[in-house]
Amino acid sequence: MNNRLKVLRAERNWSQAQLAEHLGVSRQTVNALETGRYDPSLPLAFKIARIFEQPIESIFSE
Amino acid sequence: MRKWTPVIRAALITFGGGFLLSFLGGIVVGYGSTAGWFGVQTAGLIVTGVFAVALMIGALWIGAEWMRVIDEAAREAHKTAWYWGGSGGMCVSGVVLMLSAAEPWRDIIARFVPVSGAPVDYMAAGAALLLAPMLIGYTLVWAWWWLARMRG
Repeated sequence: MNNRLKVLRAERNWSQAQLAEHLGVSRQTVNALETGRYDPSLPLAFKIARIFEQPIESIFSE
Repeated sequence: MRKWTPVIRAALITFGGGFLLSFLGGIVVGYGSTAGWFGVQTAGLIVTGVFAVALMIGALWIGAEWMRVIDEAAREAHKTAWYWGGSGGMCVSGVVLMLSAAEPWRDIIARFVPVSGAPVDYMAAGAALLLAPMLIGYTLVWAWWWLARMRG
């Protein structure tokens, strides 16, 4: 699964650690999400969508 | 750091309690056996039995708190490590188990059983042979899971 996490994070000038803090996960998890090597659970995907104020489908794509 | 408090508390209670239990148990066994309340062997059996069970219950408790604190990716790494690492390790143990029933191999495997070669030594060696490959497999798969996801 592809995602725009890195772009969205860069737009806000957040570090991986800052995004991790917003999401309540580790920085390593954010890194794994950004590289597309780990797909988030539905609750985490919703949380990401809420933080970036965008629908899930505009952040994640197949 | 505050989120780790339940894990630290569980670890402190488990290991502190274990230490206290063995310390007080030793005193009770020493005093009670000298006073003739019970035999040293019976008391020793009870104290070490309770200690071992309590320590393992504590270990499960620490594990439960740990799993609650870590995030979902870290949990996924542990689940993958548990299934694939544990299963892989069990397969290694399975090979040893089968070979230990085959004539040419039995003698070679028996050489690795330590000390006196008493039945309990064979039992301990069997338990270690079952646990060690599973633990090694768990660690390797856990490390692989994270390394595979750390590459940018």
